Amino acid sequence: MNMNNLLNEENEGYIWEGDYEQTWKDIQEDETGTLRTATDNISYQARKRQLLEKQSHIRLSMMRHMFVVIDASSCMNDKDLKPNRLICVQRQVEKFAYSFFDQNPISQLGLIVTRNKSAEKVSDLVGHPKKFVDKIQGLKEKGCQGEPSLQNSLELSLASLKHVKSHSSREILIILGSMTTCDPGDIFAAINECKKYKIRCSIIGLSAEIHICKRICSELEGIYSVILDELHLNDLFQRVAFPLPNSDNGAQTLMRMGFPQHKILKPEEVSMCLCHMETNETRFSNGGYFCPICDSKYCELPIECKVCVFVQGLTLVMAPHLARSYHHLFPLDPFVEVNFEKQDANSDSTVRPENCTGCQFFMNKNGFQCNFCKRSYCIECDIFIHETLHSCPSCTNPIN
Amino acid sequence: MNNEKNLLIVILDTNPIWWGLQNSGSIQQEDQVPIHDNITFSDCLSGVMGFINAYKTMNQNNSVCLIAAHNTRAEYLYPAKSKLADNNQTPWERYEQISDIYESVKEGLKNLSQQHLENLSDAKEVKNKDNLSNDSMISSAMGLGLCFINRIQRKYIFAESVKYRFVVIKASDDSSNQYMSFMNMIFSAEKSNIIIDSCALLHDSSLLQQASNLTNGVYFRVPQLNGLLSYLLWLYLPDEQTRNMLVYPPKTDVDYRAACFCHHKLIDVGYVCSVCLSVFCTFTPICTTCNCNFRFDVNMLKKANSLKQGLMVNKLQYASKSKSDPINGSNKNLDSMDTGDINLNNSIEMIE
Repeated sequence: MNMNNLLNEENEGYIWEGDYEQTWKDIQEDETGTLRTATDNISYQARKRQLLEKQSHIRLSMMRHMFVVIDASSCMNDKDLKPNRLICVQRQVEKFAYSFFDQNPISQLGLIVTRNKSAEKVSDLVGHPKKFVDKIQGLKEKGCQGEPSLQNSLELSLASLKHVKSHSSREILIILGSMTTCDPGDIFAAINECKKYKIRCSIIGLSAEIHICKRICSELEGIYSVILDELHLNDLFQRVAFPLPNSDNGAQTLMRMGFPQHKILKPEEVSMCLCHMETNETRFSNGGYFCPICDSKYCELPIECKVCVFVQGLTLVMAPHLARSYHHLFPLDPFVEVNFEKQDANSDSTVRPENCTGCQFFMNKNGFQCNFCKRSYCIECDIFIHETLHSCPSCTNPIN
Repeated sequence: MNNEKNLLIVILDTNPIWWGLQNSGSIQQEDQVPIHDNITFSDCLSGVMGFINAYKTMNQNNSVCLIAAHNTRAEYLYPAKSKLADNNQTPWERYEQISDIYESVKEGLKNLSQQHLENLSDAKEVKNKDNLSNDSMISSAMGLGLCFINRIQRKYIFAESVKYRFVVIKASDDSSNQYMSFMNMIFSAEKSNIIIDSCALLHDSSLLQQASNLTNGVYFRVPQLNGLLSYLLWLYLPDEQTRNMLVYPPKTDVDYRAACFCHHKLIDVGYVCSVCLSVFCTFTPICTTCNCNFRFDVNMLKKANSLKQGLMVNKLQYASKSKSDPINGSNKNLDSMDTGDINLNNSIEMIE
């Protein structure tokens, strides 16, 4: 993986073998006189990636339980990422948490920090990005100390992930800055134990490729990558946020789920919610979500009903939670690139559309055409439609 | 005065069928005594134009984009294509006369209805009901609006600080085949913190309710079309900050129940496939969306009382559905279904 990063995309050779990059030549002036850097190029790369990655009709594991392990050893004070590694990673993990819950709406994230040869569980598995991000905020104060321990982190996450139901995918993501790990016992035993429970482990390295990390990732079916810069780190996080293909056949089940309705009761009918019972900050309120079976009240969704768990177990969700991940199921087909200049020369039967269907702005020589409605879009809209919108604005019916 | 720029995207439902029916008095409110106040589309349009003018004149940093949602397509009414291509001005630098807006809207509507008529006469499929469906391309129009916003954000440096807001004026009924794209639009608006205010004419729309609820917007059903302009001015003119100081109609409870994939019925408790998150109302051995075989949990079998009955119904559905299977369209479904059935019957007998 690391070698692939160093190789140019077209396998032209290693980066250091290439010519000197003349970055100033990328800057051009457009018709309006504003400076345009090589953004066109970057957009093209984004499009290429999107074409490669969009493989439809693969069974993805939508339910994910993931522990993020952050290295807080002394090397995380290094300033190669600005302002330092730890703060940079912290920011990126926050961003990652939001996109993770956006892509995998009914999944859960937990946080483990490893420093001083030990691992500490900072946050248990939670289903809401805000709760998770709150826990990361406290990371800076404790500072970075000592050495990390991969074995302790693996074992600690394993202890929690063991109890997760088998139909959801159990994953660990380690962000490792250190080149060493301090383990109390045999790390290979820990790896085998994880393998037994079908845990996947991906590692993002901040310094250089390390053999043990490579070994862990190949044994546990994860992806090992080493970052080039902050932008690349961001890219790698985005890749992890996207659900992985479901490798474990036969682990699928039907989950029983409840769809509670939000009700607002009369002002005199105040009640407590079950989700804040444990924290002792009981709140009285009028409204909330009521479990369709036992009628217990919760103030946030998604959540596992704490009463029904004794009977059969019931996850409470809203329909939009499920709908959020339907774009993985019915992905939008990539648009076909059309070169209008060539088309003009060959045949004059097709009229060249002057404006983009999406944003109405003037289109350059290249357009992108939807296969169904045959309308053309500019590259900006094409990327936006595929990355964010997930459905073509002029046909709006992704299934047909 | 602050320099904050605002962009309001107004989506107007121009579905000719709905407006025709409304005009002839065949669309009436469910819960009230029919009032004979049928107003024509042009009355409604002048209300909307009044609202747009009021918005533009309120602040020089306000700009508007008007998109029409027809029954077959969505189209920009203002700003017009030619204006955007010629000028390099930002939407906020353009000081036009109010008559210019009228002109471009009139032109746009004319083109739209002409194209619609041409399509009808070309296809000669008037009998085909799909061409005359009573739903508008609202999600399509929202998609155009979001593309427009995205383009502005990329093109201008100051665009980061611009506040964007949608006002959706919807007349026609909700259609279930727009659900997925509509939800996608809502989520992308939510991601970029865009508020969707919605205004349903005469009938409640559950899609719009969800859109406004998820993006912190205002949802309101206009009970009488005569007062459209006053409703628009009173509820949709103030921005987010001003709203805190005003008294708004209380937020209604939104129905967030899911519809099962098998019968399209709203359900309270259902079964969800762990791989693709499809919703079913009864336990089924195979997922119809991703063709997964589910493991049988004996506890689950015991507790599903209506299982046998459910299977009969499901089998019938498989027979009809496997032809139009969105993933593979294979008949393997049926074969494996039979064997699964036998196993299941055996296991039920064992339990009994």
